[in-house]
Amino acid sequence: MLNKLRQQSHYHLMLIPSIVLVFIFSYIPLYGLVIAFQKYNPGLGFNSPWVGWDNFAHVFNQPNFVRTIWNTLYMSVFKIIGGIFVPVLFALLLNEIAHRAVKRTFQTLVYIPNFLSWVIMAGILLDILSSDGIVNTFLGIFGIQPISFLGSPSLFPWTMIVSDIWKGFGFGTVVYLAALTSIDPGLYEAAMIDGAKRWKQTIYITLPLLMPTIVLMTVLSLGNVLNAGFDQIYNLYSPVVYQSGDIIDTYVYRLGIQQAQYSIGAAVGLFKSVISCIMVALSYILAYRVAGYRIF
Amino acid sequence: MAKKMTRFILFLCITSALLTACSNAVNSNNNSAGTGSSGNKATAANEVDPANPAFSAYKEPVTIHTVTSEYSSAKYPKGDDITNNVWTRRYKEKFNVEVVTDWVSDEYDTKLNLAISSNDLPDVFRVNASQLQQLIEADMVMDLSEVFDTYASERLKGYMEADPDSSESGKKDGKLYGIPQLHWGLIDQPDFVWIRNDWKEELGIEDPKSVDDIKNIALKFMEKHGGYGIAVDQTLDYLNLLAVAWNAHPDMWIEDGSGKLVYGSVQPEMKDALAEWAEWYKQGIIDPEFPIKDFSAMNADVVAGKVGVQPYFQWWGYNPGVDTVSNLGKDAIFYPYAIPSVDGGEAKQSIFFANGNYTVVKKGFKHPEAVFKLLNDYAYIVDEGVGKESKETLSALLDNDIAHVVGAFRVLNPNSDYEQFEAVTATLQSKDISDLTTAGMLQKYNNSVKFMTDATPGAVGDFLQQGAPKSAYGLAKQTLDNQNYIKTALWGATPEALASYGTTLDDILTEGFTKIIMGNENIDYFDTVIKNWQTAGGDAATEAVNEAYGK
Repeated sequence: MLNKLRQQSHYHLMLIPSIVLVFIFSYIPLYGLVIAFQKYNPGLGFNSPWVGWDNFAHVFNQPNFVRTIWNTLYMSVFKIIGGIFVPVLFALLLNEIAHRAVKRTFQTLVYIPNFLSWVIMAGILLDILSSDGIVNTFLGIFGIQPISFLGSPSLFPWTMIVSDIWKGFGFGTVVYLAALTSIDPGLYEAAMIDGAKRWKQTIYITLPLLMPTIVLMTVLSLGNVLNAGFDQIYNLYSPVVYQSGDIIDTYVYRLGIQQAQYSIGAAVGLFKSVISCIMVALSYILAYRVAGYRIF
Repeated sequence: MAKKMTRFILFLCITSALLTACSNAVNSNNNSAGTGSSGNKATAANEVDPANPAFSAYKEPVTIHTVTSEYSSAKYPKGDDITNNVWTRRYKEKFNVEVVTDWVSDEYDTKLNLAISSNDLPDVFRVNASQLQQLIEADMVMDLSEVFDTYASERLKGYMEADPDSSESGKKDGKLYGIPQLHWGLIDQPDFVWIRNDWKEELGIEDPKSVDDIKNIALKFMEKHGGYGIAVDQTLDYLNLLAVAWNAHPDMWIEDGSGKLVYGSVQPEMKDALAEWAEWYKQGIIDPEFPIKDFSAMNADVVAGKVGVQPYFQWWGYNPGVDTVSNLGKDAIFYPYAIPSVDGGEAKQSIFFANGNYTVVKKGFKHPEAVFKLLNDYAYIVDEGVGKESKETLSALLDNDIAHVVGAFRVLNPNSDYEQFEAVTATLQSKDISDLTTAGMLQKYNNSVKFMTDATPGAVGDFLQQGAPKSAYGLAKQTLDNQNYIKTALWGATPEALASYGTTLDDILTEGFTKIIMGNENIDYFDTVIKNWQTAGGDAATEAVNEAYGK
């Protein structure tokens, strides 16, 4: 053990700067979480009076808070599921395109929305989804009445889910394409000799070899299960869709941040971090126990 | 990923600032105790003209550290900026006071909160009502009562007397901690229903005298020009302006019959208003897409000529007025009309607390009186400058929004808009511009004339506010003169218990009211909405407000 450490000492040395930085910037600030248990006054700093769990109680006693948890989970779960299937499927299809230039073009095209901020995307969506926007005009050709994608409580979550997946799937696609190129072509040749057609090759070679990447991406995204996308929803929602579209982050923003209620913000932040931490740990264990993959 | 990163960085910034806060807090608090009053005697010797303390310069230079927010619409002469401009040079030349700006920020409140929490305060700075309360609680700002009595000019004291509610809000236990920066006057508060003039004349419609008239005007416009009748937005802030017609005062804390304070949005009068609005929505009068339209989308429809009626504040002429005139021509301007009451006559308007900012002095600062000298001078330049100072001096100090770059060193005359309107109206009659004693008066007058002669789009704001035959201030002045209004009972900072709900209580109402207007729920749902509001914290907040105001 000690011998091994000595052999690898230069690696450990190289690690030191990042460990120091992480310690200073990620661990020491954790002390700031105490304000979640205080009635924080910036003038008094950390000497603000202690209030125990009052801040948590204040948030959880809001009758509408349960609704926001449900909305958050609903949207984030579907976003995570869609965020796995769509890029995998698209990467597989893209991989079958033999023409290099065409493949690259499509890859770039689907990746572009990823770079636009939700503020801009929201402006675009508001425009194309309005009653005289391009989508409703198109539906009008078939005699369909204008649909209020952003103003109807039943449709709003799905508008969010679909548009979020559409905006983000380019990134996943690139990751999976990279994973696909690392698959040994020899395996396909061997399969072809054994008479496996495209479909069989995909099922028995591509997907199993892609699995570690898929599991990794899933575990990473599970940490976000309580983040249903503040930027997106804040820029697109309105009072009429609060019942189905209001998520924890937007709710807390209106509850605390706008009025500089630091303690409440910190309390909810802590709550979310604890849940996310549990989710990541859980998914890690599940991935190992059920699928037999070790990620780290 | 990117969002996570920014959050993380933000978190770091805040927490590291907090960390330094706790290490510094102990030291500086000890140092600062009790130096405030002893400074006064020392300064008297430093005055050039001790007989006139309000305007006397210093013999030895005095330095004030301050902080400020960016003021982007100000146009500086070459080489100047917010930290070095005609005002700072004037402070130096006239008073021998050096004003040093430690930082300038777009995110002023956030940055100031960090400065407060790290106890890294400048000598003099501007705060909002809740920051003022926190600073007083933490004993970080100076009691200015005595200094105010000695050094404030008669004019400055007059400002405070003109708005006793605001000046009271800067005090705690009778001591003055925050000098309210005040406002242009209550005349800017009454609201109106704005109606497109060329359409109105084309159809030969009379001025609206009742709520039904408004409805009928909207219907006639729709019949003739299509679209919908009344422009409103998703926050209901604009539609709510009409609520006074039903004697409802949404968003305002008012006294009920028994002397208790209650919230206007949850009173039964609001139900009557909503019932009518739901009817309007059914008839297509209210924008069918209002639930997803924000402020700019609402105004975009006005500018595009889709709608001819809009409940709005007095500043319609500035926005969307300027764009409307540029896009549709000068005949398409909207004129304001008093909101009629369902009981006949004009509705009683809502008057809210108008003071947003306070100037405070850090505890321990040696020259609190210097702040008053600068404030006295500001008031002097703005109110008395014309005639006493050269045109060039005044223009350099006030024009191109340079008047607003002074950050903490500013107090407004709470009668300024009222006096200005009277002067502008009189001058439009007499054409004798010597009656215009302030730079603001001159600007409003000139722009009003400019719009009438050349129809310059940029001048329509001042024209509709003050110079027009049917002007917003003309109606507002009547409202004030006849005292046809109800004042909010909530003067000063929001009680903590109310602030801890953020906007969530109002959100419950906006969500519920929107459903009622759209017909998703019938009008009796109002009672359910109110019950939700009460259990979500409305009752607790009401109690806290009553307690804070000793009811």
